[in-house]
Amino acid sequence: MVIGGKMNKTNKGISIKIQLIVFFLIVMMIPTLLINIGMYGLASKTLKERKANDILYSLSRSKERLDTFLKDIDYKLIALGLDIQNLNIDHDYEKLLYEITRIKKLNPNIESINVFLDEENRIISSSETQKEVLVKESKYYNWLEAPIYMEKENSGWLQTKYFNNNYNIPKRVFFIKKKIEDFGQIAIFINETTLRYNYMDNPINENELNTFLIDEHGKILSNKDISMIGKYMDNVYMDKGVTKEEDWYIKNLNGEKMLMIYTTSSYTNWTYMSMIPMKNVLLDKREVYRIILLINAISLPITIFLAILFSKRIYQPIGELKGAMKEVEKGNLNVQVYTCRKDEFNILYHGFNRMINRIKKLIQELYHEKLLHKEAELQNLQAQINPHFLYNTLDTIHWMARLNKMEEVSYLTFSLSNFYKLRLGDGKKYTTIGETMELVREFLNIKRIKYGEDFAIEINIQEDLNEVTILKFIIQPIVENAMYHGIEKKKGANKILINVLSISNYIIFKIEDDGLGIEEEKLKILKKLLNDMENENNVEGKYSALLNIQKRVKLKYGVNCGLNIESQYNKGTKVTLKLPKTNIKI
Amino acid sequence: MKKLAKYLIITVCIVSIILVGCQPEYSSKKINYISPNKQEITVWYHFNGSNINQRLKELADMFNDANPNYHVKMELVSDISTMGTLDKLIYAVNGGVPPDVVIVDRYLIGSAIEKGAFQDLTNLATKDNITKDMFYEFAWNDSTYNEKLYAIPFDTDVRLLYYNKQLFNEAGLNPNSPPTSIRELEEYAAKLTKQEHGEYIQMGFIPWMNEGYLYTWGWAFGGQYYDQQSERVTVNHDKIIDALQWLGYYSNQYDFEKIMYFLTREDYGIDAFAEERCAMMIGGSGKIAEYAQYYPELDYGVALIPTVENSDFITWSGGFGLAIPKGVEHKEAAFEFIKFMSIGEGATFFVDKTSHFVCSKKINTESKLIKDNGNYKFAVELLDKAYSRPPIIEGKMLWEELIYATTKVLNKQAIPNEILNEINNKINNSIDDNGNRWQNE
Repeated sequence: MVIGGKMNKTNKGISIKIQLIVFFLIVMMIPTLLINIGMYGLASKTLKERKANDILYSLSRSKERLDTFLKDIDYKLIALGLDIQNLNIDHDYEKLLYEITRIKKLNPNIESINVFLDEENRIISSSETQKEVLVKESKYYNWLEAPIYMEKENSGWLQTKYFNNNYNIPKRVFFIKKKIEDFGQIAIFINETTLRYNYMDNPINENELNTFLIDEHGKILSNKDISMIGKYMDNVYMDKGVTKEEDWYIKNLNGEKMLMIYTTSSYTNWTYMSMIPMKNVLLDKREVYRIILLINAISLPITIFLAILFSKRIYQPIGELKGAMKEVEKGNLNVQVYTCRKDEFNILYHGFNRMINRIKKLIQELYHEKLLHKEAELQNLQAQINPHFLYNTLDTIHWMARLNKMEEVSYLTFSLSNFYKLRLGDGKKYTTIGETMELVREFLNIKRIKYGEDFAIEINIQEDLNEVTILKFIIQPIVENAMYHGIEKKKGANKILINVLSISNYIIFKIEDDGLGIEEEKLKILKKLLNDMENENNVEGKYSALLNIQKRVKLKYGVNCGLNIESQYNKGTKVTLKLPKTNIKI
Repeated sequence: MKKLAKYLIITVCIVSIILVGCQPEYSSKKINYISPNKQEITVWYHFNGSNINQRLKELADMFNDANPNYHVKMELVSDISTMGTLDKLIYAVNGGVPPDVVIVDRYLIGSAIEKGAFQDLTNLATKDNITKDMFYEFAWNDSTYNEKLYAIPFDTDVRLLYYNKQLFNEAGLNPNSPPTSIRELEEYAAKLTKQEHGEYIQMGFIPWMNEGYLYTWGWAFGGQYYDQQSERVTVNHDKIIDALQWLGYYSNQYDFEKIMYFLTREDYGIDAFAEERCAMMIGGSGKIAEYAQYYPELDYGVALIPTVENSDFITWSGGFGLAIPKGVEHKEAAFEFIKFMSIGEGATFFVDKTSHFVCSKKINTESKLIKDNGNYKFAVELLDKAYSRPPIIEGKMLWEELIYATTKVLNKQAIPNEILNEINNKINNSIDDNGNRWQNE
């Protein structure tokens, strides 16, 4: 009760229809959400990689272009050094000035070319307004103080601050210098701004991308925010991973995720590093959420619509079945459900139909059995005409006959009394074979008085069968039949043979007489009637006793059991009754 | 099942249509394809500073959106302000492929006209009621030669004394009273200068730093560079000689090499004033925007440039103009863009976004930015009385020679009056030559 109650509680009020709709909704919405999330993740990853590779490519191009440019300047400086030595222009200042001015004019990217003369402490410059400067203290000139690198250890390119022609605004310049023995130093200067504009500015993502040129110590050499130049790149920016020639990584800077991309020049050892906020790389999160929300908002009514549609496909036949079931509950067994579907519902419907048909049939059979039994009972009751009064009367007659020495009357009355006692019994449906045979004997005893001693009966029964229970009123009517329709209707006939045998699991009753027999035509009809129990054509009510037995036996024991009649006209009849060798519980 | 399939197909279609329809605007930037019906306008420009260059691109987009018949294409031409690039323009004009509009530094206009690079815009301006009184006088004068208008003034600036209030406080000076005379300036500079191990670690003032050109000091000392009546330069003006001498004296007193080292030391940054190592500086008004962007913490004030007499305060202005080269066919189209930039919406946008001034008085005074910022307001009010470099054909030559003289004096390689006399003669000779040529034409 408790368990059942609990179960009822859970499902109470929620019809399968609603359950199905909810189920389908969940089933359809979850994949939508998962797909949305999955696609966003995938798109983000792809976008990130693509952007990083694009920027890396662009950075590498910048790096290559700048390296080529710087190498070219390097060669120009070497050539100038050779010129100075070979052409012996080291003391011809006019010629020297002409030469450096010429080189500068040929390359618009060159800010200045300076020559420092050791002996005279003098700088000769390609500057238009400041061609000669006397150096009092060389420490005030950054480029003169800078170390001179051997070509193998370093490209020699350095950054310093330098004054323009007007001496008013210091500029950041890149320079490379060479030492010429017994002469001095030569150097070429490139403006940082020129370099940045012509070689580093990235036309793609101009606004969102921040590119730094950093030397091997992390010092910023170039950036669009000029206040950053000269400062050292915070360790926060630099990742431990910045050891490869080129790569990209994601770094959290001031709470903002940044995509960092770098490539390092093998010539200058300078690193080109670009950073771009991840929010510029990825799809705008709010936008994505908006789209996801929109998709879900659109798909929700569609999903509900589809869920109703799908659930209807399942619910509708169940509903029909439910309706049919209710009809059956009301007692209408003629309900049948039909569908053109070819799925499991088809099987279910057919099963239902078969089941109802079977129930209907069983009910009919049970009904018939009861009816037949009642009929037999009625017949029985008809015969019971105050049996006790009859027994007493018969006893009185028996005793009077004996007193008067009327042996036959006495015997007959006694047999009749026994017969009725046995026949009427105590109203039970079943009896034993022994009792049945006793009844048959009493019946035949009575008949023998009528026909005299030459009336022969022979009953052969296996001892072990006496206690087997069988239906009442199935043997004695056959014997009565043999008597009334066989022996009594033929002169000279006087023999009834009853054999009760056990063959495998069956008990066979054989009742033979040598009476009139049955005409061939009639036998056919009788056999037909016996074999076709459903047929109710026996309108005349003939053979009702045999048919009654046949029906009851088949109802009780199954179709394998029943009567069989063989007969030859004027020669006799043989009735065989086959019953299973099982005790019916009384 | 067929019915179900039909439902599914319909559903998928509906969803697809809705999704396509609801696709977000991935790019609000329109790609401006040049249709054959559009009149293309090529503009050459060059500014120092990527911010301004970027804003100019945005201005082109703005113009293109508002004018469907035109398409402006901005071309950054490297270093247009030097003679070499002017040559580039001349080549383009002579070769018959000039840009439609050139944004040109106004002091170069004379040289460009002399080489026959620009068209006369007088008629176009008259037709559109563009008159002298709409602009600052100096800007209009820069753009006018022989009564003919060759450019519409675009932007401008003024020179101011910038001073660091924090450093003033530290040195015991009143942060609200900057020096007004040269003598005061020297006194303050001495008080604000600090040395360590024989080297400067802080300087009060470096006269030639940033916008401290001889032009600035010549005017501040009361000199004049040009005589309108005689149409001759007066570079050897007594007061200009005084100014140059003062620069030489200052350079000597503080040791030019030491100052240069102080400004270029590797461990220091590039802008000594912004980094609070130089207490005072002559700077252009554009610095206000730069400092607001890069050094928002900097506590500074702006004031008039000190003068010798503690009166007759001066400042001077430069800036760019918008010109149409000779050989441009669709003058009217080009002029539409020029109007947009100089007196139209473009000018307003430019002021608000770059914090530069434009030459249109109305737009400057109506700009929200100028109204809101005290320093800007102070600066813009100076524009009315600002000097400007003489609008002569030899403008570029004059500029370069003055710088040459200054550097020579700072390095003690020349004597001020001698070198200024020399320059004066050189330029006036050139004026004579050119004048003869003009007359011949």
